[in-house]
Amino acid sequence: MISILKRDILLSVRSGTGFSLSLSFFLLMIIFAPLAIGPDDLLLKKIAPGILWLSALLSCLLSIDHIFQSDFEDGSLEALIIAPIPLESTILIKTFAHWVTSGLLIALIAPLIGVLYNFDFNSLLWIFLSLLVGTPGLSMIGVFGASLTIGLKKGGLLLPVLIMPFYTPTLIFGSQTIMRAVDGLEVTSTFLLMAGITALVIALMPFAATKAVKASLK
Amino acid sequence: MILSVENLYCFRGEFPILTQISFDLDYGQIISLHGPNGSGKTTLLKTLAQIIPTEKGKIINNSLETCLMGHENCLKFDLTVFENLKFWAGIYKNPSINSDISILDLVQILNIPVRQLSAGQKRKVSLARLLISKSKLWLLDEPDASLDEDNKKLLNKIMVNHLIENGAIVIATHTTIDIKNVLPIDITRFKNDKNTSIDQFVDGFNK
Repeated sequence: MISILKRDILLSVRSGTGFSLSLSFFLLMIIFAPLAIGPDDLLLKKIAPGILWLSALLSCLLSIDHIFQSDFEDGSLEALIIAPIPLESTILIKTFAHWVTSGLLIALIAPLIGVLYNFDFNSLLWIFLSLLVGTPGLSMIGVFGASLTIGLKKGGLLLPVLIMPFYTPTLIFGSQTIMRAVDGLEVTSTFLLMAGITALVIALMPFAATKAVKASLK
Repeated sequence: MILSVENLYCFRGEFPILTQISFDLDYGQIISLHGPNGSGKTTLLKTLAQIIPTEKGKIINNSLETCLMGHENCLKFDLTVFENLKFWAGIYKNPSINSDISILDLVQILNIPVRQLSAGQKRKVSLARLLISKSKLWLLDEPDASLDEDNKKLLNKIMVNHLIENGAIVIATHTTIDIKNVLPIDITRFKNDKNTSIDQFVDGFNK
């Protein structure tokens, strides 16, 4: 399983479809939003949590359709199905690799960029925590969506349409966590709800994705 | 018996393209599947590998691991030959791949990205995956495609060694195989003549 993790991270770095694409898109969104909105400090602080989470979500989405596509095209997916590793584990580890090259990097870089929006230390901490705990859920939901569109030549538009509804709870509770931290309110309830959603999708979706992958190769 | 097939139906989508296939394959035996393009050789191999689920009939596979070599080479173009083989060694839990690399004479191209290899070289690297898998049952779909005469002989030698080591092979090919005691199966005799949607519609209407 470590070999799948290593290979997917290496491919993401070399091919430029994951790591650099997600991160640069996120940075561009976060840096350019204040320029577009203007120097209104109060307004920026109010909408920044939403911008942060929306950028993180779109960045994750950007690289998700590659997750099975190249394995499908070069025959690796069929070989992995009959390999002596359960497909559920393969899917879980591929999700983890996707998260390392997108969500984890975003969670690490977001507090640094948050300084642009003049956040205090407590808010920056919750930005980091909410993205660290919420983005694995985004990757898992994305992988499930990608498993439904394997082999579709023009599945690019279908994928976001399919998975956006599943992203909504994480988006709401993730941005609410930061908003409440900025306002100095109690944040654990929204944070735990988001963590619960992440745990739920990680527990269930590998099985659903396995069924979808097998069905798509039928 | 490593593989036993009884009354197997092979489906492409919703339709059975091959029907009532039965054969047994013992350790050390090789079966070659013959038939024109589109006759269902690949579909049968994928069904035997259980990538396509068995909807009708029975497959008993006593091999702990099965390795399928399809039309695609299962290689990542952005990785080197060594990185690709190391990945598959990790999947098949094979700690040492050096002997497999030397059998196929891949030492010279180990550090070259797969993107820069010729079609024949890629096929040879794909053959190394078979050896790395240590599987007893090999399902090969035109493995000699793109290989030159020398490498076809090498492939033949590898298959003979596999059979001597009590492995078994099902191979789909358009060429004759230079191995003793090959069991040829012409799969056109299992072809389902009524496999179109119109036939199914008419059948359903008649019922």
